[in-house]
Formats: sequence, structure tokens, C-alpha cells
Amino acid sequence: MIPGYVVCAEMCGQVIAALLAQQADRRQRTVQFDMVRARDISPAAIAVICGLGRLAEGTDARVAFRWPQESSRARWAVEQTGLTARFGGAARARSGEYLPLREDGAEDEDALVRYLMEDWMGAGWTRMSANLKAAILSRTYEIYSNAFTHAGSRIGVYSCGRRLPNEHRLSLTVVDFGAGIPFRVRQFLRRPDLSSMDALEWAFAEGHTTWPLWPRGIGLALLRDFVRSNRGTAIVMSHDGLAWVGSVGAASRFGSRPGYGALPASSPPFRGTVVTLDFNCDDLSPLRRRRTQPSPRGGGRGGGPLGW
Amino acid sequence: MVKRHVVRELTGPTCLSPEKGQRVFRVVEADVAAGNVVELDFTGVDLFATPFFNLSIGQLLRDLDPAYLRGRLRVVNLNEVGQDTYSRAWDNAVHHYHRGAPPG
Repeated sequence: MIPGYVVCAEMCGQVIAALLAQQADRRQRTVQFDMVRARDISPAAIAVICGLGRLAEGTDARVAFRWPQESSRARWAVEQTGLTARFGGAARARSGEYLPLREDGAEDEDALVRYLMEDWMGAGWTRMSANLKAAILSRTYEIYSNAFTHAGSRIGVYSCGRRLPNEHRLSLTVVDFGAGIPFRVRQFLRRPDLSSMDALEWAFAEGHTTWPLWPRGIGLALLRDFVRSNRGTAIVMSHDGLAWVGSVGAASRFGSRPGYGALPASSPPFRGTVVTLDFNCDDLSPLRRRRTQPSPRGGGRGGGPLGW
Repeated sequence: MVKRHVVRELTGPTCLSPEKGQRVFRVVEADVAAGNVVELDFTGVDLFATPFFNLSIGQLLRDLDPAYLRGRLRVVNLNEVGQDTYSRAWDNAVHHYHRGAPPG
């Protein structure tokens, strides 16, 4: 996941460099996304590509695509998410594990809930309690709310995800192209020297917010706690800072404590924020329940009220 | 006098966004200002996020003492997620506006 984020940051840097060059010499540029050699493309990358495509279109650049080869996993991904359909390619293939790509210019609670309930969760493929369903949807919404309230993304918020039925997991990525968490924190604390890593750690602490108008600053903490109890994963890339909590992939190195880091020095920063969530979504299957529930006397942290 | 509001009638089945929080805030603020006890009944609401509670209830603590507001506001029929979200949002708002005060 982290290497994939580095690729997204590099792609973002290249597109912005091309657009700045266009602005300087006033010649129309073509920004081409070449995916011919891609074997697989994550929902996070698809959301980022869509946003960068819109960013380029907004500057009058011409946007072109070389789509992945037929029958590759990458091709399924770009067709099932509808990325191809949005940029003049094949119509969206409606079945499969990928969610339709979503673009939002403003916060619309009811539309987002419909998307999360119908397109993301769907029905009939997992055994999920009403309580777990409510917790996943509620905590996921915190990420959307942060993106709309804090980011100031002029080209909107993009999301994409997938269902992994065999693993009983759901994943979702939410991307904005705004100022980024480190910038907001440095500005708020008046500490221009604060590292992105430290800024993200500050932002994850309960009650910490850069928002001046009313109390905020518990959304990330609630998400962090839920991810722990659900044994899921949350990974945040904002500018050159990274934060992760959970049990999958790179995040597992840190166990239940959030980890903070930075993109490699050779990588450009990402001009915005990418949040990828990965949740366990089967808490009713007897086999899985036996394996994951704490003992009746144990009272372990894994069995919190919103977890398993 | 107790004024009872069925929140679902104001917001629909989800209480997530600041916009819906502001909608509920306007109702509650007016009732509390008139000296009423307000009961917010969350029957039929399934999803909850902190922006909703920050605006609907957290904002009230800007001008009101936490203990006074506790006596004026009854929040009933929250599901598990709602109760957890509400408790954390309440404590955070008390800390934000009344640093050092007990949660009320």
C-alpha cells in the first residue's frame, strides 16, 4: 500500500509540473495517463487519476488515456469503476468487486450514505450485524466530513473502493486535492518547521483540531479506535506525511498503535490527502466469531462495543 | 415544560453532517432559551458522526454551563454507535468551551 502511495504522489507531481509548464509557455499541453503496462490498479490510484484528470481538464489541458490491456486486472478495475466511461473509454462494467468511482463537489450526506450503503456494502454477500454496519458507515463518514470541511479541494473529493468477499473485507479510498493536514496544522500552531509526521500525529490526537468555529477533532480518534476494535486498517497520506493504524500490510508493523512516517525523500509530496480504509465486515459467521471473539472472562480490547 | 422532538422527522434516518446538526441546533437552542426541557428522541436513526453532534449539541455549550444543559436536555433512544459518538462529542465540547470543568 505504501509503495502504491509513492506512485500516486509521483504521478501527481508529474501532472502538476506539466500543467505549470503549460501555464508558463501558454501552449496547450496533453496530459496522458499511460496504463498500458499496468497489471493491477488500486482503487486509490483510480481515484487519484480521476482527480488529476479533472485538474488537468480545468486548466484547458487535453487529457488522454492509454488504457490497460484487455483481460488484465487493471483493465477490469478501470472499467468496473467507470474511470474509462468518464474519460471517453468503454462503458462501465457493472459487475465485479470494484465500486463505481465517485466525484463530489460538495458534501451531500444523503447521496454519500446511498453510495456507501448500496454501492460499497451492497447486500447479501457478507454476514454483518446491524451494529457493525452502522459503525463502519458512521466512522467512514468522518473521513468524508474532514475532506469537505478542512481540505478546501477546488476540484472536489474522489472516492473508490472494492469488496473482497472471500476475505470478508471492504476497502474504500477517499482523496482530496486540498491543502493537506500538515499545512493546516503548521498554520494553526504557527510552527512552520513542524514535520509532516509530527503534524499528523498531532491531528490524530483526540480533541486536536485546526477548526476555529466549533468543537471538532474527535473524528480521527473515533476512526482509529474503531479500526483497532474491528481489526481493520486505516492509512493516511497527506502531503509528504503518512499515518497508519491497523493489522494489514505495512500498518501491521505498528500493531494497534498508530504509526507515523514520511514519504521517501526522493518522492514528491502528494498535493492533498488520501485516506484508505479497510474493514472486516463479517461478524456473524460462526467460524469467524469463534476465532476472533474474546473469551467471556477475557474482556480483551478486541471485543469493544463496536467491534467483533 | 418538556418539549419532545423526534429527530428522524428533522433529519431522516442519518445524523452525520454539520448541516443536519445545525438544523437540530436551531430547534434545541430556541427551546432551551425559552426555559423548556428538551427531549431528543433518536428512534429510527441509524448512523451518527461527530460533525452532527458538534453542531447540534456541542455548540450549545458555548453559552451554557455543562451541568445546566444536562438538566435541560434529554437524549434518548440512541443506538450503540450513536451513544458512543454522542458521549465523545459531548466530552470534547465541554473540554473545548469549559476547559477544566467536569463533563456535567
